[in-house]
Amino acid sequence: MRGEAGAAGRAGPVRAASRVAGRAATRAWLFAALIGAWWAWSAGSTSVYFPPLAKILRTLWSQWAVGPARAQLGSSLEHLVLGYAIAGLAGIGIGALLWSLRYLREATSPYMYFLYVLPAPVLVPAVITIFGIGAAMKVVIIAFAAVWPTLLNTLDGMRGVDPVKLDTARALGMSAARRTFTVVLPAAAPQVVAGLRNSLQVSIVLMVVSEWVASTGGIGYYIVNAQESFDYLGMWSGILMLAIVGCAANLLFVLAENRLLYWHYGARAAERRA
Amino acid sequence: MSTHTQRRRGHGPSEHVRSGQRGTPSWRAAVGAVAVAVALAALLTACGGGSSSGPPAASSPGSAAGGGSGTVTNITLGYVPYSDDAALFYAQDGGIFRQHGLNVTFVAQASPVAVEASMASGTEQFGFVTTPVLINLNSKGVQVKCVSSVDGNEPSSDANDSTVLVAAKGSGITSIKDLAGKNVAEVQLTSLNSLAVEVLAKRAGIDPASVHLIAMPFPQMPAALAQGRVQAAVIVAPFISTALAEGAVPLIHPNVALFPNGTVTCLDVMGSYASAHAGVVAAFRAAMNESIAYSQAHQSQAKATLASHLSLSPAQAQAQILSTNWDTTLNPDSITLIEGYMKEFGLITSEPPAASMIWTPGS
Amino acid sequence: MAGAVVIPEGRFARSGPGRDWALRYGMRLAVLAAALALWQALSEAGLIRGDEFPSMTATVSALGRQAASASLWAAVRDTLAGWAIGLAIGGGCAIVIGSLAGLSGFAYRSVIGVVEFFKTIPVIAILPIALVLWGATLTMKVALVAFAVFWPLVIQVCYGVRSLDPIARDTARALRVRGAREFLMVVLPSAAPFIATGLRVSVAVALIVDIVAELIGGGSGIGAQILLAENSGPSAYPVMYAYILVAGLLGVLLAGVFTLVEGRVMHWHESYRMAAGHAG
Repeated sequence: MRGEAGAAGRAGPVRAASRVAGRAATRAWLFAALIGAWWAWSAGSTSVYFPPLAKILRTLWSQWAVGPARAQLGSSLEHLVLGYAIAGLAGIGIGALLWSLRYLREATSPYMYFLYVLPAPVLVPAVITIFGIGAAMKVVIIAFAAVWPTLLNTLDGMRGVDPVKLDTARALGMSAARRTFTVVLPAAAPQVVAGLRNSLQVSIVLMVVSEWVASTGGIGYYIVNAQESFDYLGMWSGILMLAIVGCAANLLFVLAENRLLYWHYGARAAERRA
Repeated sequence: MSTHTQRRRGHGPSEHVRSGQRGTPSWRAAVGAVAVAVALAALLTACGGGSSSGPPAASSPGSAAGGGSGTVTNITLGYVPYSDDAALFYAQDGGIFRQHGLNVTFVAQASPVAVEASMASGTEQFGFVTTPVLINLNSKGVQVKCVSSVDGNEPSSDANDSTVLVAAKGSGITSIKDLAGKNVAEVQLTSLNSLAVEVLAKRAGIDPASVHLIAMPFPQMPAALAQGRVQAAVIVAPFISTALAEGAVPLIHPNVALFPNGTVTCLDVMGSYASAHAGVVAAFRAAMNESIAYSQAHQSQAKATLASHLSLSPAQAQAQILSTNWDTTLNPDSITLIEGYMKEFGLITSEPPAASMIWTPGS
Repeated sequence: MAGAVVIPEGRFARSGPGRDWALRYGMRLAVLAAALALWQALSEAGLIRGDEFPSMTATVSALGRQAASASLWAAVRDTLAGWAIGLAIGGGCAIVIGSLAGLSGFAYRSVIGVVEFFKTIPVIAILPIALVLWGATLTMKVALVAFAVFWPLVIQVCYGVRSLDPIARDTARALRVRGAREFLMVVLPSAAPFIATGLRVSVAVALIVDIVAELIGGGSGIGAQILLAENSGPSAYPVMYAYILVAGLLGVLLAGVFTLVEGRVMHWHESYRMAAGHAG
């Protein structure tokens, strides 16, 4: 018995390491294959619009990793974080408020959707008039557009709450606020988190859009400038940089999500194994 | 993941079976909805397909001999809507294109950059371009050539021009020198307006880099000036009248000062298309020159086209100023001048000869 | 028009269905009237700058004039064409590929990285590439709409398919329901709420991308009309904002139609049944 345990104990870390490596490989192989295909296909390209991937990656390095565009990235990320935080909090807060105030929700839901579908480039003039052409304008645009996925998902998630739990909470005499925050929100958590994830993507897109007009810096500014001077190499490097930023943000989000919802996933994982 | 699955635990799989039986109407409804959606999409494609989708037919065989042969060539032209397109609109509305054997479809786009990109796709054969964009493309190896003027070259006197560099009310700016360290709004960082501000700054003796150029669309400039967000702006008509009404102070007409009789905009074509369809290009140039000459002599008729092509009432259309000297000869020296400035300010690295950017028959 | 959001009512709601409906729509009209009145008041007081924004009355009358002419309806038709085809292609591919990826753990882990990468690319950044490939045409709009709709929806469908209740899965196995039957009768219904939410977001995203592609890229539609009005000068601001209103109204209308269809198609599902039972 002890021999077995000893052997299992020595093999444990190795098996764990190889499992992690296996997982990483699974996640990466398709991505690597696509990059390889793009590299091969564009290798001899002389087209202005589709330069070789090798050149794009070199530009990515020389501009963004060690070069002048790095400062642009910093200012964009600041606006992103602030705008997203406001959007997330407002989305959950307003969603919870609207869920509990039935009449307000019913009266305003078409208008919420109206504001949701207005394209951001169309709203920019209005925001510039009120907030000027600096950081405030960008944060407001990001927050205004990114609040909707969280808001809608919060409402959807709360709709799906077990009514038995809700009625029990009411019967126990909990106040509306307490009911919302201790019964409904945790039950709606998975969908709320899905909404927050969607809002993150929207925030990144709006970070770029907010720098399209009247901006003097940022990754969006870099991309629009590159587009207008037909610097397609720069444009592609900007797009790749944007995708890298998006992936990194998403990774951080997933790590946070796992910590936040470990109790939920743990229960499901246990069911799956059973 | 969602709480509804927890509830199902109490009810079990019979839920699904029961819903399957009761669900026959729901499947029917689903199929019905999908069928309606597909039918709607098909209908819309059929309707919308006629107007804006797909590349139009390229020139038909035999048209290389020119429009006089009686065949009609379908071409698509991308343009940026503004009042100086009057002669272009008249060539369409007055039948001049048709007389030269051309059936032209207009596509409105937001900037010359979008127009040139669409031309690269082959869905547009002709396009509106500003000279800096023309130079930029050629210096990057994409050959595009000016075929004709839009409505003539840049005027030599302020009275006929409507692009003005203005200072905001109360900004204390009375000359170009005072722009150092200030915010100046212009429509695009790669535009002629932006380049002109840098050139004027250098001539006035201040460091061009000290002038903060901020890109914003023309409609937002008057408000930005009035609110003090920018201290100066390069504005065109019709937005200039709003700015002036709010107290903006005109400083200079940059294009008249720097590029009198210059070719600052033109209608261009991809070099490859021009080589293959010289006849069509020649017909286009002839048609445009005829329209510009006619528009010069009948300006009210030309301006009347603005009412239908832009969102203007007939009275507003007549009130527009056309910024032109009606000279249709494309000016290579002005192109070389602009190219020199672009090189000086680091916008381009190579300088192709101006002659290569103007189409001549046989090139 | 049905509400954009349906919430199950409390057990003790007293008002009957008729009064409820009238009250709901009455309140919505009141909110609309208040918003319009506020807009006009701000305009007249000068708090909304007259040199950038038209007054409410000017915009509404411009909207009326456009609606009487053919140009508004042609623009709506052209925008809807891009929206519908792009949504159908992007949504259809997302549901198929998402289902396939969600069924196998290996497939899911392989695909998720690539999808996350593409998800964050904004349409506005790749617009020039789309123009170079397809020009300012319907095809360009459809391609961009499908691109924008596909990536987030794929993830949503994956989540939904993977969220299968293990008891339902085990029971299906016990009843020997396999393969395509299991997929259609057990997996898809379980994933349906996720797909529905994802599609609702996609309806909005598709419209936004469609109009932005017209506005910045080119091609006929509501975005093109906004561009034309914008370039015509301050006298055309009422027309420009009339078309912006049309864009918003179109979005609300499409969302309402979607909710109606969703309610019909998903009426068997728990949360919808409860809502139907209480709201009457």
